[in-house]
Amino acid sequence: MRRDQTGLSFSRAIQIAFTQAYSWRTWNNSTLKETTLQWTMAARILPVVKLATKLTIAGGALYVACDSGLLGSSEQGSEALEKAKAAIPPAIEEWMKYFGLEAQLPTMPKVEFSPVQAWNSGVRQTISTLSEAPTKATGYTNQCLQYLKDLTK
Amino acid sequence: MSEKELGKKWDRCLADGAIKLGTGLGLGIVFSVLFFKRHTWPISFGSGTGLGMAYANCQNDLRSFYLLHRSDKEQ
Repeated sequence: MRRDQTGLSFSRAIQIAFTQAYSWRTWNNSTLKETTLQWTMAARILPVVKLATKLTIAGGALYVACDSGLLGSSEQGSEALEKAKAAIPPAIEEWMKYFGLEAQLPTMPKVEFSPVQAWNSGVRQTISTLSEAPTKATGYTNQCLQYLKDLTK
Repeated sequence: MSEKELGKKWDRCLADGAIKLGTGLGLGIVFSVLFFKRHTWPISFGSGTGLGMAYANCQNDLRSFYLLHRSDKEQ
């Protein structure tokens, strides 16, 4: 990085832009060369602009996350989830209208499946099987022994 | 604490955990893409932070029944 290169201010960049546009218009080659050289120095402010944009985007994302209660207590989180659930169908409709795909999207079939019920019934069945297992095992063993005794008779 | 109340608390805990995990993941992805040249560690850090916050919330929620609150003390 050369120390004699100074950064370019915004107003100076506008001035160079106008000068260059005018030089193109009037076919003034010497001014064109000069302004192109000045543009290479303008590359110094681009990293600053990039950093500022990145900081804005990241800061905005953080603000939205904190403001909507996503990072708060459990009640705030469930409130935000309810709001999001309520807001999804109109948003989807709007998007479909925007893309003109209104007729194509079939309505989501109302699934009568509740994961909570399925889990609960699974737990009950497992525990009942486990509790009946010793009795059933002894029963089957006795049956097998009886069968073998009958065979050897 | 009744069984019903306990069940509700656990439901809230799980939902909160899922929300915070998703938020942490999202923020981690944003930061990873913008500032950290698409490395993986901000994403893991974000999800871990989210899970940790959910754990702390859940712990507070489950303990709150057994602690004396300032509002009860003043009464």
